[in-house]
Amino acid sequence: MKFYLEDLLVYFPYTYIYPEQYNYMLALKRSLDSGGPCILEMPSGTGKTVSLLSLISSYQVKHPTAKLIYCSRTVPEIEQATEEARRVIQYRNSELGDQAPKTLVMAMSSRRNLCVHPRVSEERDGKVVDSLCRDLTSTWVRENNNAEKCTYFEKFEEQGKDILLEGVYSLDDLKEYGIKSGLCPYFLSRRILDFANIVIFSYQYMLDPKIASLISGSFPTNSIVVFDEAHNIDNVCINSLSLNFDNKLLDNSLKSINKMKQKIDTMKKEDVDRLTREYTSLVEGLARSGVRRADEISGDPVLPQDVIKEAVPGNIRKAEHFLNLLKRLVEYLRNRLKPNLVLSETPLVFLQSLYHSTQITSRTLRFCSQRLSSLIRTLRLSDLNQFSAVSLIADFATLVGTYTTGFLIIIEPFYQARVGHQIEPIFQFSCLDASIGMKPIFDRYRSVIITSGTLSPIDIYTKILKFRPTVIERLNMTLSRSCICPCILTRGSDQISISTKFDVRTDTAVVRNFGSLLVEVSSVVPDGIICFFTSYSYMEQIVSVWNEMGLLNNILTNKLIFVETADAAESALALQNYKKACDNGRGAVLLSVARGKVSEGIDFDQQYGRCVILYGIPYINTESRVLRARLEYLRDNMQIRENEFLTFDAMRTASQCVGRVIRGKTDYGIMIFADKRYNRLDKRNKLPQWILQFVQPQHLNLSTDMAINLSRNFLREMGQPYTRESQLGKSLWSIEHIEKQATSKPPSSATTTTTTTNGHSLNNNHNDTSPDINMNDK
Amino acid sequence: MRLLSGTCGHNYCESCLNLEYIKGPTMVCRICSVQLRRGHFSLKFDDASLEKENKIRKRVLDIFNKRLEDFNGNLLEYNDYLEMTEDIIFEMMDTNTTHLADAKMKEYQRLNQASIITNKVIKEKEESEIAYRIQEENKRFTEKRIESQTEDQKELQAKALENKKAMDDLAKGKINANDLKEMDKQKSLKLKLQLQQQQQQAAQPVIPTSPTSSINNSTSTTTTNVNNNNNNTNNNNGGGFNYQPQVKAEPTKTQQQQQQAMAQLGPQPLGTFKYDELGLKNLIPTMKQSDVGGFKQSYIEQRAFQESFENLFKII
Repeated sequence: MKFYLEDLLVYFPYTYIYPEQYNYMLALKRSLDSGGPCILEMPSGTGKTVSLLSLISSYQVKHPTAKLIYCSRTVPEIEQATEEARRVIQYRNSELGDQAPKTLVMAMSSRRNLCVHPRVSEERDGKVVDSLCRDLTSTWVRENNNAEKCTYFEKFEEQGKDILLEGVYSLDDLKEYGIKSGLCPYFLSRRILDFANIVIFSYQYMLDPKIASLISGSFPTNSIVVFDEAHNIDNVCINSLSLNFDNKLLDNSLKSINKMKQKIDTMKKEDVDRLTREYTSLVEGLARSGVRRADEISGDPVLPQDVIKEAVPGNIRKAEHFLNLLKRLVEYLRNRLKPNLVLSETPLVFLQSLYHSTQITSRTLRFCSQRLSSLIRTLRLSDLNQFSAVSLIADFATLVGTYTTGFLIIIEPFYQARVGHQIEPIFQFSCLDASIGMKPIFDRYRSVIITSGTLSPIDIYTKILKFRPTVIERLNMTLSRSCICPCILTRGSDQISISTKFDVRTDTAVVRNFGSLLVEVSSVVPDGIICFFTSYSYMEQIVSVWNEMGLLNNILTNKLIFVETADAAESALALQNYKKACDNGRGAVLLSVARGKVSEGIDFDQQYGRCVILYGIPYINTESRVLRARLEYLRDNMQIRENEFLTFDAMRTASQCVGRVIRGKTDYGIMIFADKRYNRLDKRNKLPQWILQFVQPQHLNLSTDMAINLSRNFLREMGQPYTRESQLGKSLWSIEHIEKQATSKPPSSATTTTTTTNGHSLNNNHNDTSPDINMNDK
Repeated sequence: MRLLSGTCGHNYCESCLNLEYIKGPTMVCRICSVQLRRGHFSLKFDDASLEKENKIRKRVLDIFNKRLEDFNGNLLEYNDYLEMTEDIIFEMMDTNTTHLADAKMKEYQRLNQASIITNKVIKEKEESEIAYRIQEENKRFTEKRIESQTEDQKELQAKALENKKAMDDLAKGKINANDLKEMDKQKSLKLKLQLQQQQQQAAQPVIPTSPTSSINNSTSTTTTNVNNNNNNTNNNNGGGFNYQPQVKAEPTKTQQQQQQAMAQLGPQPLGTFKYDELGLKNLIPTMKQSDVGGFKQSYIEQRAFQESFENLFKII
């Protein structure tokens, strides 16, 4: 259907729409009109992606130059969004007919996901694929007539220049097109990226400066940048500017430095020309110019505005001088990395002590990564994967030379099982301020939209990312029945309070109550139950105690038990069998860990997740020194108290965990928060709005038997049949309902004052329970 | 063999040190007889040549210390100069060409006597500045840490004090359980308000005031504001413009009347008896006493009556 949203005609590919989708689009449209960042929270499973895409694609009809950059977390999520975009664009263009603008929607990913070369694409590791690809496509290899080449790339070089695609291309479509036409899909996608109207890729392409400078540096500034599932965006920002290394890596980088030295020596005998050519180009300050796309290794590790654009200093202009500098740096770092010593210092202190013992200045350091990639190009090194260690060191040098505030160096011994069970020190250069990474994006692009199912409390996001949003919306779930049953469980059946507080978590009473809770729940709830523990070690501990108590056998009479482990393959198998057990009616319990793989990105819709139990509050391990440093930084610079941030982080993890079970409006589920601390207002308040709206006084401060009673009633209510008719007009709108909205009058009759009544007109009659139907989402 | 150097500047090999420290926690330096602990030793560079190089480097750079300002900001010349310096260092390290480099250095030193000294002074000044900055940073850091620690402590203390006061008052009978309940309620209410205020303040979107925005535009953003506020307040009442599952409606006036009538229609409570005449008053604990114990006073009245009249209707 199509309808007016203020002055914009929106093409929505379904015949029914949720009210919150409508409101979401309205908020989005207003923020696009006014420009500036915007932050939107909408429950998971209510068709966030489709409303986003359909609004922006309709907006593009009016403003054809606006490019949409849609960032998501994982490859499956990218694929999902592309499919959604296909539907939206198809509908829009069929409605527009001949007037439809030429549109290119494309997904983008790394070589690993896009390569079609028969040998290279066999590899699983992304770094190996990258380095193999470079060995086949670099300029010097292609000049050599005898070397093996990639036919796809050759053909791309011949014909790819003037190919202009139109339509929707997912990753698989790109690959298919590549195989059919014989063009390399990766380089093709890199080329057409600049012409695409909608680009869908992962966060790293925007936030990691090393990649972003190559990929997204040339996007127009009136682009619309969307970060979906953005509740962890601060961690992504921080990770993209932090790096760690240990002694092994330093050894490796020394090895590769020596290798390069040998290479230079042989080259001096055979081909002095090339070295002098590089030298002269460096003298002129052209380190980065004239680099072909296939040859580039990676961009600068610092943010675009911090890259210095001047000639490389004279003391590292010659290749041997530069290698000598790197060697001295690595030796110095090795010297610093002593076992059994914990140390934290600011970059300034580090630079000074570095200068005193090796006479290396920060100005020289800043050029390291630039100089190294130039050298690697000149030496025409193959198998770049070998040199990843030394480029990491060069990146570190550039970062530490550039930034003095917001970063910290921490040297800390770690127990490492892989190096013969030894304590090995790790050098951690960590970014403490997430806003450093986000700033260039807020500054550069007109509209930045941050959206997710769980963004509460929003004020913390605005503080840690340092921005002032123009529009904030927290949307509720409009429902004609209450499909979520949150239970805040504070006591066991024996009235002993339960908590995973450190001092009581191993009490037998607590462990027993946790166990008997699961036993009772498993006898009431049909199909799948998911339990989240705070850590792997705690889970192991508790499960072994349950086994001794014989509780596991009691659970087994009701349901099968599956356990998530740190091993990814093992967990995948467990998950597969868990779903099988849910499908065939045996029912299953999945024991997993908050912050683990299951807690994010895997959906448990319908029978796969009828109940989720959260044992304790999933706080981060506060012993980590990096975290401690970050907390201190937050307190000193952003006025966020330690406890406030920790609670915020724990609660966003918790809401991610419990959010796994509700993946749509027809879905329903019980959420059990088993810890007495959840009952406190400061914790509870940090849950997202759409969960909070179901928290009534009778859901608070429950004991196990009360919770079981509540669940039983809830499940009985949910078991009733559910039709579309009863939903219409309440949690589901057709075109007639939309046209009644004040904001949806065609532009000629639109007045400016009528908009205020929007939310209220719905508020009147919502008291009857009525079923849902399966409709547009997912 | 790895060399470790002590704080006194003398070097020992690692295995010798290990032997030495088996004997005791400290050792005396063989050369300058300073007492040294294990922690005082730090690793020298593994590569002996690097140690040497750093010394040479320091010496050369002390003399070849021109700065970018000396070249009037001409980067190209400065870079050439840096490269020349680096070349000299390399020559210096190569034993075959050391004498050549030495000669070059002496020559340079002779020619640039004045600038070397002035630059040295500038350099020293710069370094002391950096050292000062680091010191300041550290100072600020520790100060802040202490400050926040004391703040946290103060808060904890205040909380503990408040609790203690309440308990004391309760014990002494200054306040009763009802008062305490009331106090708790007020406190949580205050907290709730505070949280709300904080959230609203921090999460208040900017209203764009760009001159180009039409009337339509600006009103639209304010309406989102209004919506926001509405949402917030509504939600506190139990859920926005949504279906509200079994919200207990506020009892209306008619309902209240009905309830009262029901109470009147029921059997008359025993309260109408005048127990004072029976002299039972002294048996009943005071309001305070009973409330603290978790009883309602009426229970006791009723029980006392029940007990006293228990045998009345028994057929003997």
